Amino acid sequence: MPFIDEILKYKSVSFVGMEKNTGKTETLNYVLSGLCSYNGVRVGITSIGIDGEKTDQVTKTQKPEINISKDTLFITSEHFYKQKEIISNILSISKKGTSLGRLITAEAITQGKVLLAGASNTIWLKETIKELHNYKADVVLVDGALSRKSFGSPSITDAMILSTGAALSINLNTLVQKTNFVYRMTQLESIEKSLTKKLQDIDSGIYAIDSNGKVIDLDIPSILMIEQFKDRIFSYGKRIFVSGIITDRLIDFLKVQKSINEIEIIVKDFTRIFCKPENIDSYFKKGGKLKVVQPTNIIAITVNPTSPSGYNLNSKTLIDELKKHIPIPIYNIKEI
Amino acid sequence: MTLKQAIEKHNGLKFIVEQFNIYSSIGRKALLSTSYLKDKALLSSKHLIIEGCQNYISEPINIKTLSKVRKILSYLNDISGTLNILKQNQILDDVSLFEIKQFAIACSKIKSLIFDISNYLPKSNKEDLTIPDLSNVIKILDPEGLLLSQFYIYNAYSKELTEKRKLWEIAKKENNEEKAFSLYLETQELEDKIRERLSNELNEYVDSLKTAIKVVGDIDIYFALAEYFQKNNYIKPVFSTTNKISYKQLTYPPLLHRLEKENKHYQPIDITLTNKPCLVTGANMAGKTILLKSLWLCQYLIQFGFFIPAQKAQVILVEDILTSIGDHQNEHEGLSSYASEIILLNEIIQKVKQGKEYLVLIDELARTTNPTEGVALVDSFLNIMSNKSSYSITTTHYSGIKTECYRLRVKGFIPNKTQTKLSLKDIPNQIDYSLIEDKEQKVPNEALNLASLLGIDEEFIEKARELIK
Repeated sequence: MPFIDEILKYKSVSFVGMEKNTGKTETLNYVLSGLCSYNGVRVGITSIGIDGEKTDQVTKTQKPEINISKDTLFITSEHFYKQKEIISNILSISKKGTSLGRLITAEAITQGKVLLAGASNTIWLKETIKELHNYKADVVLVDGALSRKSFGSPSITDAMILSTGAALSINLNTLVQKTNFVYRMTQLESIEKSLTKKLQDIDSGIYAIDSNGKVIDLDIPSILMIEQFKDRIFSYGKRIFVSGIITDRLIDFLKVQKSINEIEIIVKDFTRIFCKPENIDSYFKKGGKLKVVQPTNIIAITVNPTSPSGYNLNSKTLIDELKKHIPIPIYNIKEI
Repeated sequence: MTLKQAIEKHNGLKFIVEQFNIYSSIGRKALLSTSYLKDKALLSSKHLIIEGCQNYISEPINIKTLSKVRKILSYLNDISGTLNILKQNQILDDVSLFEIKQFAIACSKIKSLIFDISNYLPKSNKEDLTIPDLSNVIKILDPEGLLLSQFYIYNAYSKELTEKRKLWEIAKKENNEEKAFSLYLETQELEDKIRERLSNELNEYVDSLKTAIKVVGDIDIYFALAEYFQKNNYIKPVFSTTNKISYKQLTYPPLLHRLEKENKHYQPIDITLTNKPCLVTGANMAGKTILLKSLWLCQYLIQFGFFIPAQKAQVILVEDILTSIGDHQNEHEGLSSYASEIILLNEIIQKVKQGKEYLVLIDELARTTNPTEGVALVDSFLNIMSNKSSYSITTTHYSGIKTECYRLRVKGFIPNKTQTKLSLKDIPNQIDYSLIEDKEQKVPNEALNLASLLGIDEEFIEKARELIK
């Protein structure tokens, strides 16, 4: 299993779906079952935030539980812990809580099903991954999320697997274009190391980075209010760090600036970019730069050619089309 | 009154309490609910425990032990809520059972680490920091005897459960989902029965566990206090056998901290008081308000059982501390500063008249009204305080207060240094903050000197000088 061998090269791997029902959980279960055939590999697993109930509230489809094997370490909330169908040993309880209770770290005594929940912000997520490593996990899998609302970034893991599929669009071209765009965003250049340390734990606000690398709070409450503060934004130079998300509105504003080829926008990571592909492209074309604090190491893409409504794309065509643009392994895990 | 309420009233107290190194959430909660005490015996025994802990940590070998204890304290969960559930005969879930087990194991570790702490404590308090024996609790939750901070419903609890779990595993391996699910439900039922049994067995130990919570909280607090007071040279107050309060080299820690940071000199002060009303005069910026705040702070520290920032202290215990310090405008909405102040003062007078002993601290009484009536009000207030058992310190800028009282004056500007122009920052270096007894009714006229030192408009100051002549 080449896919599984690749995963074992990393200490932590996140799984991110471009949309609900793009097969992220199947991918995770596939990897878990693959890893359990490797003797002596201890797996730890957690999630970012709370990923809803057993049944998906939006589509009313069954939310698949994660199937873990004996000795696997897992982290979930108190609420989900009670719903587990597995014998497991509690190892620790977090002091902080989520809306579904505190986080439980446990070890599976038998094989069985669990629902995952996890840390709700990046700093806490790092701590939980570290905790699983402290309990001797060789590799930690993170059930990630691509969401505006999520403060936890899957990019902090050593590697990432992206799931895409017909749930995103049943139009092949659109699906390929959207997936390719996300892939390209994961390949954005990252900023210099000296600056990373200063920016990685900032969770709110908009900042200028001056020529000496000094980080200055621009005191702009939200990027949505950019037009009201346009006199202020470039008062310390053209390097701007946006700690939250960036949208088309910001890009539209930047595109009409005279000095656009000097502008460099820095975001936390690719999950913070919520812009139309064509808009970002025209920003790039005019000379604008976009960098990330946290680079993302995307190692594979999985596809689910079936949409929740039952529409089927041709799996091979889909993979072939994606491969024309994306130079990393792409699988339909149901066909491996 | 609890410490939590007191730190809301006095930011100097808050400043100190925030620096205590408390490691457990149990300790933090217990510290904030410390009560204001008037009982000499209780306070003395607290002092003895603090001293015992200071002796304990003065031995280098014990410092290592303490850091191990603190590591355990830092991850200790407060299980009070779980114990209340248990007390109501409810059945605990695995998470709660885990918490009790983790707590009991942690307690037993702390207990064995500081097994000799009682040797450092006075006879009357020998067992105060001794955690009750929780080995039976651990036994209930550790049927395999592994002594690990982990928990699940172990096979060792029931042969029937072990058998059912085996069958469930087989059904899962055979992919017989229906059978597996029904066996899963059967194991759940058996597990619930075991949880019920464990909860019943644990019920007997709720009191021991509650005592353990209290004691680990105390251990955390007393070591934090012992360490802080030692490091910052706080001393144990001595309870006065007369009606005399006296402080030698009293400091106000928040100010000391700030001046040290700015590399500036801090001048501690000496003061002795009786229940004869005390009137303090002195120039502006001469530290009168800080004096009152220091006395207020120390009284709190004393009555919460803490040590105090002085070199020597003879103290008394009071019912409460009644204060009128600062601008009153916000306190009673819609009233002028004067009205607010006088209403507050009335409350103080009513309490004092009831005869109990209070510490009364009044800053610049009646300063917000005209000087003629102001002087009369100060005089009258001192008169009321004269034959009461309360201790009062009143500061004023008014001359001509006639009531017989104990008069203190801040020495103020050091004469030969007051010639040059000064910036606001330099002024503290030019002031001698020590208190001297004053027999005169006249207050020093230093407002004009101070103003000219600050470079205020010359015409303005000179005219005022002429008028005084």
